[in-house]
Amino acid sequence: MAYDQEAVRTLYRKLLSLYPRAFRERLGESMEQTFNDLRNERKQQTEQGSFGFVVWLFAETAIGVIKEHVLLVKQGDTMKTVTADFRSAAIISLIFMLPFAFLDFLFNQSVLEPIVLFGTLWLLPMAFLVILVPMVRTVRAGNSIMANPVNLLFRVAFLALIAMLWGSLLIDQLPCFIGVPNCD
Amino acid sequence: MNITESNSPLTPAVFHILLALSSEERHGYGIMKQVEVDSQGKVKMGAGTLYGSLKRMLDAGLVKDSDKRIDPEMDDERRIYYQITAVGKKALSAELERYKHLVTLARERKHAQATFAHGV
Repeated sequence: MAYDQEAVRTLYRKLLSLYPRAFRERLGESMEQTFNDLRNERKQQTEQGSFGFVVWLFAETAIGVIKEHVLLVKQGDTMKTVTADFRSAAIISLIFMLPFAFLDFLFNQSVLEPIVLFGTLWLLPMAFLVILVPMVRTVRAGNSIMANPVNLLFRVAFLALIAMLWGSLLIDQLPCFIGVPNCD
Repeated sequence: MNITESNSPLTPAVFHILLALSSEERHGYGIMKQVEVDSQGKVKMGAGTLYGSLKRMLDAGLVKDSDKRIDPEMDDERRIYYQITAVGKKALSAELERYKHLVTLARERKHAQATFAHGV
């Protein structure tokens, strides 16, 4: 399969930019270099394109991005600002949303066309994480989350509501993503 | 879990990276290739796994950046090489000892089973 080599490189650079800043600054350039090395090696081995291999490299790196952000959230003390919380939540939920956008592109040839739908699919998990992270941090710090039961009740209720909304939206829209005709 | 804790086993990725660096300093791509050779093609590490592990190993002092720059005309000068540290060597030795012990244990059990089978 023929595809634009420069576009692939740019796309990978964009993916690397999703890593936490400290990680990116220390290892981002090396990762890009390794990506190019691997692609060059593959090109020499096979005359045909190596689309599947490139997809694997992207998926593996995307998992790495999630892992690094999850580690930051788990460490807690390194999450110095609320902005960083939002940024990590935004990136993790974006990666959750991307497979559905990819399916939609594959079957319907539309690039994030139902913008409201994809926006919702992105924002819901983000809100979920923003509510969940402080609870996880409290538990990890050895404190009781029952210290403020009203707060806990609201949080749990919101988490359940978000999970329900996200799940039902996904079940409802999945046929559209995979190109079932006449779906709405 | 702290990967420098001498009693805690290393993850497969960390173990393979340390093993790859035990013979010479290597850059990321070089480590990947060596891991593939060492594992007879059974372990294929992507950039996400490799650099995620390297980051934690750098933080833990198991490996460090090296000054080594192989012939700049043949290689990219910006390429970073990594080398194993004394702490890394110690962790690798401890892990190999653990494996050795497990292999001995497995052999003994196999022998014991065989003896049992003959006795019955």
